[in-house]
Amino acid sequence: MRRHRFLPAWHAVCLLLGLAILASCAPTYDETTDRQIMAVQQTTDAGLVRLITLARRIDSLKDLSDPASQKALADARAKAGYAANADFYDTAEVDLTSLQLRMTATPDLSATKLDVLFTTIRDNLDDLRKFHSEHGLIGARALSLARTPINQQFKTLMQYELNLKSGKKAA
Amino acid sequence: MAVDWTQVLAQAVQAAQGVLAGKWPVVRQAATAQITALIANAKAIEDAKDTMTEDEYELVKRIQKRALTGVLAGFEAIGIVAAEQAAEAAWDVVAGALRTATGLAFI
Repeated sequence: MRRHRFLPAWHAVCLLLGLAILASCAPTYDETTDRQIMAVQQTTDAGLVRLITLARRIDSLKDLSDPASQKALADARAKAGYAANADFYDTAEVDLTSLQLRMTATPDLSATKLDVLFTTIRDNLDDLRKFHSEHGLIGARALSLARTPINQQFKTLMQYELNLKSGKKAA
Repeated sequence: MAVDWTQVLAQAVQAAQGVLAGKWPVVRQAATAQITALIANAKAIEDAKDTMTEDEYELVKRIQKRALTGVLAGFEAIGIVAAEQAAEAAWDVVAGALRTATGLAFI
């Protein structure tokens, strides 16, 4: 009888503990993460814009035959080539992984969802890298067309964090 | 041949909606914004039809579809397979319009 009398109290304690654990697992807004998303997006976008500018310069010089233009063309081609930009892809990969680890450290459903989003961003950057390394250069138009959806993917990460900040459900 | 991109947008949205069915209301706003961006990029591909290579087109296509998949799958209600199918359905509509608009054999 005495045992039964205490059971509801223990149940209540367990329930409260369980709720506390669940609450501690729920994602919460993190200013460092917010800043990190912006930083990774800006670094990635700056790299893409730099490549677009170089590709446009190549387009504007390739039909010119004077020595100065030919020299400028060779210079732009070298700067736009894969070898000169492998660091950009490496940095983007490392920054993205660091951000993913931070954002998915909380073991809840949104972490799984974020993993999918990170995978698609990583796959897109890998695809660009592969194309770049195989073809040597990427055209300005293709880069511009790749830039928009990649930024859209980062925007989704930003919206996720902003939703946490405003107390809305993340997704 | 000229393409009515406004109509293509409506058809692409409808195609994605058809795949996601009852879950559509949850993603409607984000998906419509993303598909609108897809249409804007399709118009840019149309403008670049004389210079864009098949490899470049394939690269851009993969990136566009993946971005849409990632955004859709980010919603709790949408699984990765459904997100991929919705992105594929929307892109099929866009690709059909692009074929008409550009006459490019590789699209």
